[in-house]
Amino acid sequence: MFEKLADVANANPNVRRLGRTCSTEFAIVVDDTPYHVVVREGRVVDVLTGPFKMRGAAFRIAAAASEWREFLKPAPRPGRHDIFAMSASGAGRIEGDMNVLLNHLAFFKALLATMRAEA
Amino acid sequence: MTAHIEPIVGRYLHADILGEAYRIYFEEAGQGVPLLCLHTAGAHASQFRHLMCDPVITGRFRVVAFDLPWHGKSNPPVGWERQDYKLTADFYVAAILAVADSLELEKPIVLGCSMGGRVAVRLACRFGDRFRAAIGLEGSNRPSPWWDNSWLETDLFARGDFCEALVSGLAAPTSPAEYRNETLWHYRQSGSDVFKGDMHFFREDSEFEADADGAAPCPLVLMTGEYDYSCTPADSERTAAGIPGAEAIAMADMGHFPMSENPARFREYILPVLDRFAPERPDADQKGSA
Repeated sequence: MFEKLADVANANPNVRRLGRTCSTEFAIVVDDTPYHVVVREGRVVDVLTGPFKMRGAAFRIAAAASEWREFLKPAPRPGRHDIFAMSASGAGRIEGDMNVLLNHLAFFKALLATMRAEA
Repeated sequence: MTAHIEPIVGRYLHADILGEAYRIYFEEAGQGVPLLCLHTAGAHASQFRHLMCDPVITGRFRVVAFDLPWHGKSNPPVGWERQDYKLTADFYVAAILAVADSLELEKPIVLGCSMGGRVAVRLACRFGDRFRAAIGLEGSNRPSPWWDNSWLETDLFARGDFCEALVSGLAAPTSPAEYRNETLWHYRQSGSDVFKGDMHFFREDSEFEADADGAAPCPLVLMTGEYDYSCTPADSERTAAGIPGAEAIAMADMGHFPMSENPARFREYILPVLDRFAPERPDADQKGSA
């Protein structure tokens, strides 16, 4: 579901601008499949599809495929329209090092939003 | 060419709040029943600019919105540099009453959003004799936290980009991008730790239980957007159910900032509510400039 993230995000100058001080690795989990995203200075340099054995990630955003499909719609229904809405509604979970996520929050939200046009 | 100048006028009011002197910025437009507007946490009175430019509203209401001390163009108190800003329920109520009294607003309708919606519940139940009605947008009687309080122990709230991103999902994806982004800009510019200081009220000092057997002494209407996960329509319904005579209205296609994120849609919801507390519209078909 997020295989194209690197191509889509790297083509978006605003995402690269928002993430210019961000270098990290995080995971998007769809059902049981983790997508391991490697970010260097706002560019997505790799998206690896799991499963993995004990691969470390700063944080993970996890939800069922049906919830991610709703999230990726242009106007998702309430509770599926934002990663924090997913957490608040129970549709998804956000776990791990919150400092990385929160320090670059605008970037991560914009990064995921780039996939809306592709869905 | 005629310049496009809005009818909003801004001035500065000097008032005492809990024994301290404050210089308070307020904006107003219109004539008629006073409509006193309370902005959200970490923002300022500009959120109400669309109401103030709507002739259907300003023809019957004197719309007044002020920047709470520390916010926008209102000053903090002298000596701000020796303290951390922490909004309390006592200060918030005193500030609202001080502005209403100083401007000699006679039985205003109070219209507050988010933390302003939370305090509207308290104003209706405890100071309802002072108000014609209280309208709480995205309002409830107690916090329903969706993020961890430990975030307040970091430096994140000193950063405008964080404050903006924290609340960005509270605006509905169906709201016009221009107005959604203008609303978020207010958070980006709100000033270091001002939003954090408001969270003290919102998270720690805002819970309010109405008397079990008493009706709110003025009408209380809670209007809540379905995309709001900070105060959900269910939170407002639960609050209204505990206050005899209070009413909750869920707003479709709306988030946490109705008056500023989607002024045209909000107009459809708020006009029938305001109509209850004011003279008839002179021309019900007249369109606003929002």
